[in-house]
Amino acid sequence: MKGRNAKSHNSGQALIVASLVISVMLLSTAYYVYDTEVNITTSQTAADLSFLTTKSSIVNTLTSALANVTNGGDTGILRTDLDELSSTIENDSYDGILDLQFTPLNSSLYQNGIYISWGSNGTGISSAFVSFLINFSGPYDNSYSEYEANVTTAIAIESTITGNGPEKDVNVTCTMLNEEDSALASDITIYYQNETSGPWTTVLPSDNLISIDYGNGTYFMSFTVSAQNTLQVSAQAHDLRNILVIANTTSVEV
Amino acid sequence: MNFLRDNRGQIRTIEAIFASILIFSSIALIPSLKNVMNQNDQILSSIARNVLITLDQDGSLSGLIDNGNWTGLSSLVASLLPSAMWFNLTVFDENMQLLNENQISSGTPVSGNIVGTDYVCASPSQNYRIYIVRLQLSTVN
Repeated sequence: MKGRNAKSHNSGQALIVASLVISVMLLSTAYYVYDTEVNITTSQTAADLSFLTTKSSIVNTLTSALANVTNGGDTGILRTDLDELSSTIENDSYDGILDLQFTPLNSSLYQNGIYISWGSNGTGISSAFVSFLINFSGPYDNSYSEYEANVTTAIAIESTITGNGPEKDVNVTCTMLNEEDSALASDITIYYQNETSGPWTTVLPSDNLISIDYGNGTYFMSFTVSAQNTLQVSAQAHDLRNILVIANTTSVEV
Repeated sequence: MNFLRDNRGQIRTIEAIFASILIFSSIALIPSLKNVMNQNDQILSSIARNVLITLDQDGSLSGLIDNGNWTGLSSLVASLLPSAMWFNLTVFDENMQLLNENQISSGTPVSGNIVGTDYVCASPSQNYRIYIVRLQLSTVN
């Protein structure tokens, strides 16, 4: 009887120990899953938030600098503005230590992050490009991300000339683009050049100027001038961001 | 008598198990409770940040600040927030000098925790400016 009593006491203890072990395992597993979920959420948020909260400011800085440069400002303004932005963002980061570094693109086309091509092939491009890295060290997470930002305004013009006498009818079609998407222009001024290396003349309303805005970034202009069979035409336009872009083309008789 | 003693032992054992489970459950619930307390602040902070990002993405935030259109800014922020939420918006320049002479607020008395988020906003205009926008939110009881 003593032996049986001891056995039943032992099995009771084993049951308690087993229950406790199972409880501990269940609870520790639940806690591990919870803790892992929290870490993953924090990790994704830190990297994404740093980018989201700085992206618009960086694009706006590029836009401002490009508008400045294309309207006669110094090309060094981009570097100055980016440094100012970087300093402000870093000083205003209360959730952790944020390091924001910019590298304006230097390549065969871009100099100090700025590319301006106002050629005579019917296409004009004004562009700013910068690479930047965000290094964030927070209490719960660290993140390191590299991104690029680009602001580009482009214009394409096509022109035809018709008429048998000295008075020629000139048709010009301009297409404005922002980052390769159709964009509206705030103003477009058309110039023409009758002789090679001659003076550029502004097309005025008195030249029977007719302008049609198709509302999708395409503009049609027609005017009459005294010209030879070929004519140089130039379009100077600002987009809605006040970025200037210029394109020249040769208007051929059709 | 022996049988009665065994029953008491089993009851004590069951009590011990329940006590253990209770203790461990309490320990396990501590981080969850802590999380519930912080969750409300995190939600408010996230809402404030999203409102400012949304306003900045289409250029309206810097545009309204450039023009000093505080009434327009207040209306726009209010339109993006639930009506049962109190807000106060403050605009500083990069040297933390206050720019909005008028209070930009929903004006409703607040009871509860106020959560604030700072957002750096750059103006895309040719006259480059940097603003620090502070949006404070609280739920109205």
